[in-house]
Amino acid sequence: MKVVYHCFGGAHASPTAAAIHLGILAIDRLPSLRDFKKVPYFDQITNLEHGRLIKVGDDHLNNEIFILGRRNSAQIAINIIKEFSKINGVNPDDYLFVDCVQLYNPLMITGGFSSRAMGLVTIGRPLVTIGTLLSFTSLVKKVKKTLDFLEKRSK
Amino acid sequence: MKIFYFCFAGSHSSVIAANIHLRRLPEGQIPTVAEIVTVNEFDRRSLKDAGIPYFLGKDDNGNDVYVIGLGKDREIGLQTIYHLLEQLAVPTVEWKFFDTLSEINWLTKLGGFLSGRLGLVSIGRVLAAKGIQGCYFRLTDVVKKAKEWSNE
Repeated sequence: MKVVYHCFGGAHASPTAAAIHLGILAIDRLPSLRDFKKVPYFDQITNLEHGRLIKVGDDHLNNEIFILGRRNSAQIAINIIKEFSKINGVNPDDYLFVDCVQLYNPLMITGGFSSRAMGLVTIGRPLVTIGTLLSFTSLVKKVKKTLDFLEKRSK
Repeated sequence: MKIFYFCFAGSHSSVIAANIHLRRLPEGQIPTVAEIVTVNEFDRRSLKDAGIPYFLGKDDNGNDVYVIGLGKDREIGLQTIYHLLEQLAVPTVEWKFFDTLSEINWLTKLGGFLSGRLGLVSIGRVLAAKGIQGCYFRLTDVVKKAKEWSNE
């Protein structure tokens, strides 16, 4: 299966969820701020890569793990990916989309905007990293739910 | 080749352009409101259907003609499509997307809003059709561009 963790810019919440899924970040404890340096694509994605499925790795069940930045058009991007895959002979049911948006986290929003949209990386990155840390438990819950579903499906 | 006409929900201007393209509506004269509202696909979809392409038919040259809604942020919609086609190794030179949303007037937008968002279909559909009459020749111009592209 292709598991797609998606959020507004695909730069923070979804790479963190993908890293938890792949065991790059431990699922059972809070990471340190330094641990986020190990997260592939964390605070790296730019506007031009929005809409692109970026593969981060394969999990222990051979599912492919992707991240996606889709701005505020989650449902439209999902419909496009499924329907255009279908037109081109790819099974749309092979995708599992997991929404990682952290609506109530101002640090992620302002830090992410400063770093990605305004290019103020020095200010934005520490803010968004702290923000992601605050949302870590919520992201772990989403990943655990996803892993449970995938485990059951593989049996 | 595949020709896509896109607008907000894939329900009004793109449907009219695709129907002109497929010669189901005239190119040289403005149809009546009754003719517009009886187009099968006109004012039938809402924003939740955006991103889903609908095949309307093949044109005289065998090109597939589709309509699609891309919502407010057409840039992210188009980026998603092109990135995906590239990843699926599909030759994108044979796929072309034509914007009809930028050709419409406030009356079509108001009609679409009343019908699609507020559920006031009877009044919304007629207003949208009246709006389409006002921008009909701008839509035929988009169709001409699409046909020129497909004949190149």
